[in-house]
Amino acid sequence: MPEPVEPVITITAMSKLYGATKAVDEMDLEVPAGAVYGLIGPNGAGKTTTFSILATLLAPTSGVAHVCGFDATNEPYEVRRVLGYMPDAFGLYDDIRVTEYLNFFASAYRQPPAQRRSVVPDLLELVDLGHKADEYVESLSRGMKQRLGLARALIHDPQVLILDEPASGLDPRARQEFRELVLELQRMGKTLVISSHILPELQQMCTHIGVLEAGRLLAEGSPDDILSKIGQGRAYRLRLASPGAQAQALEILERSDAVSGALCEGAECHFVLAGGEDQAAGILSEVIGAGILVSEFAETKTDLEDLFLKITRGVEVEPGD
Amino acid sequence: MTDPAPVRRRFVMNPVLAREIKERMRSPRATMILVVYLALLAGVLYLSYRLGLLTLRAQMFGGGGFIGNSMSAAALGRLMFEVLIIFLLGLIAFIAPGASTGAISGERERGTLQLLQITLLRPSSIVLGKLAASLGFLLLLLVASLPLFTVALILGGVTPGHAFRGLLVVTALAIFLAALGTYLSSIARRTLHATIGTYAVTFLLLFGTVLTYGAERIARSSGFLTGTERPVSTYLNPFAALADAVGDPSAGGFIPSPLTMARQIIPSFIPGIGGFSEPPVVVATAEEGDVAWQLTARNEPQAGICVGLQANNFGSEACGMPQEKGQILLAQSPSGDGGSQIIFGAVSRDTRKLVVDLSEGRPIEVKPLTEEAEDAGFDDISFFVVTTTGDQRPTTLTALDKDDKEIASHPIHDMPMMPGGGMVDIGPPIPVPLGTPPPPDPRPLPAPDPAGAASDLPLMAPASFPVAQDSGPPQHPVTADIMPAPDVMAEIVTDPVLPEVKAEIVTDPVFPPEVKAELVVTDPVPPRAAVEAQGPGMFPVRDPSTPVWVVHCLILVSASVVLVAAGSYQLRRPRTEFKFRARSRT
Repeated sequence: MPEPVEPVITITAMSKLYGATKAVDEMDLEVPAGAVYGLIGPNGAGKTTTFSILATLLAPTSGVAHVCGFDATNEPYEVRRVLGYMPDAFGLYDDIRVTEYLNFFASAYRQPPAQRRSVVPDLLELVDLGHKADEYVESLSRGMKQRLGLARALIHDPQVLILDEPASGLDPRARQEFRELVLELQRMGKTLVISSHILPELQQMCTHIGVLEAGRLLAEGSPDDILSKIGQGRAYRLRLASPGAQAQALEILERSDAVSGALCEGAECHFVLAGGEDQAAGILSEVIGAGILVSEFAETKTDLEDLFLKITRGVEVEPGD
Repeated sequence: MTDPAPVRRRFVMNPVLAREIKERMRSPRATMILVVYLALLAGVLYLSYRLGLLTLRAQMFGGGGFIGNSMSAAALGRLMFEVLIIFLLGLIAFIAPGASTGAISGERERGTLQLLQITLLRPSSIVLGKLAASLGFLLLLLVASLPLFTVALILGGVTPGHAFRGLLVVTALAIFLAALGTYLSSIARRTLHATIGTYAVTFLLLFGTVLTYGAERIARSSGFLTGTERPVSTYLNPFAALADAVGDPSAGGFIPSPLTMARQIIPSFIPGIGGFSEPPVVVATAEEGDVAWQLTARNEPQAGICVGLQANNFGSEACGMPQEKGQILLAQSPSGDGGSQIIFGAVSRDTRKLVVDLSEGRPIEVKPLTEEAEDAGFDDISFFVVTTTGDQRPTTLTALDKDDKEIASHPIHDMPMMPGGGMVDIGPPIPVPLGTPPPPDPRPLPAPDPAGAASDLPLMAPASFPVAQDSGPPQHPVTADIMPAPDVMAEIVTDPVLPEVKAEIVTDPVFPPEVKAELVVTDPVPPRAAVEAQGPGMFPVRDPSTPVWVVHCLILVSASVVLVAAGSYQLRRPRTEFKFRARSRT
């Protein structure tokens, strides 16, 4: 175990440009040892790009990223020894059994056969796939595939584990199992970085949360800190029946003092309201009064989208990752 | 944290290769391809056998079959072999792209490529593992087809060496196509793109090179390009390489195969006999009694200029570089019953006069035919024709320049009419150093051995081949003529300074007869140089210039190495370039 104070991942003034698009913009980030760091942001915020750089797949345009003291750009093979990466795609072969799949990656990490024979069953036990060892990979359920992917990322016993959107597409039960697995890994002394675009997914298992938007780290802290930054604001959805009225609706929303952020996309507007029901009713009547037909007006649960509205005040987000 | 095991230098099978083999062999596809492939080859082999039999029956007197005639069996074996190997080449060209292009783009599509790239595997290990897997499958196909080749080998007409070299050419193609497919797979976002690209290059390699060959030929004949060496495209075309590798076309007989066409683009056979040639220009014709003579000349890319002399459509040619001082190129007719003899030839342009010494009487003088040569399209040589009658045997031909200084001299052999009739023999061009008179010949001309070697195997066609010389001078070609049936006669024509030539005909009931000629030079220096030439007995061996198939294989294998390096470079990580983005992402 390295010194607990020593950060395991250090990103300094790192930028990554795809042509003219800034995927990562002068990012500074530190992940302390033993942390479970949740990185949240919408698609295109730069999560996957950041992870790809840490995983030595991409070189940053400027700045540096260090993993366990190794430069991800100039010492890729050293970084690979200490880092396990699970991308958002499963990355599975079809005609291969679960054990063979792990054996293959073990040999790709240059593990001698003797070591593989003990490591692979242990890992399968850890991710609760021991009973599926001889099944074909393609026959596994989504949650099992996810856990197999995790076992693959752990095959060389890395100190740092980077998981890109690990919980997406999992049912609640699988999600719960996954959470327990993460906590187990944390107990084993691993440092984890997990990305998501849904805050509740992360807030229960993370020790740190960073909010990423348009390639910048906008907020950082414990899950409680982040939630308190959102404050008492409540998110509302406004669905318009009049075509082409969103500009007018947005204008009304932004004029209101109670609205702290608003974003209109197509027929839907989202906004965060600081006040109570009265203000909500007032805004609705104002919109209807302006001659705009409204088909739906409802409060939505606080999720990441709302957080973003709150923090970024409606900065348009490029889709695509 | 446990440290990874210390890296030990020992043989570990490439993990990519190991997994790839497992996955390939587990799917029914590999077996299906193997079965269909062998069924197709076997079908083609059987078809070629039936067609060959039909052709043989049509060709043979009395419509007899091949039984009991080893030459016919050889012809059939040759045909089956050539059909089989060209079909094999085609099948490999068809299968190889499909077997290799999914290699890396498939991993990219499944999302496993980046998982490999973050392991400790080097990019080259990934590429080489993938290539070895595709290549392994292709080699399995090749090995599986070997039993079919034995059928052709048993019939004859083809040696195991021919088959081996042919398979080497096919293997080189397999290596190249697998490397190309793997490389394109490493840069393609989709397997389909890599597949299309590989098939396109395969098509260009097989057929595009035929077009560029034609273009080169046209450019040469129209003067855009110069040079007499073989067009570059010859070395790129796999069919040409295959034709070159599998030996002489007609070693076993005269049944045309698909390779016959490919052979047209290798001008490496003896001019005018089996090889590629430009149509000759008829320079002059003459008639004497019931014999019609025709004098022809043509450019030959490999040999320079060829002059030919034909009597009643029998005849042959001599080829050389008569532009060079000291070379006289002559085609000589045998003396007929009346004693008349024609000598036709070419000399360098600065020859102003030719003096022909005769066995009786005064020498005759002949003017070179410069205008006729120009009319025929030759700017740098002159032709000459010498006709002698009666007992005037020509003995020496001497070329003089405008100051009556001797440029070159050439002894002329007496050419008695041979049994079987109508043959014209070619005297070798003899270079004579400028300004020095020809050395007096201390020995009488060696009498042509009337029956230098005999065989009890009836041969069906005449042959003439030069002896390949692998030791420096002398550079005189030596010809051996085997005359038509019923009696085999080997006549060795040698230069007086090379007095001793041994010729031996080795016949084999299965393989085509081979002629081994040993040339022993006793005087002048080098004191002793033994040269051995070997080849199918009835037909010319190829000229000693660079073998097309070797160059072809080297080109393909070197290209493969470059492609592997380029593919590895493509897979290196981390990299700064624009990242491939998944397109269908919502």
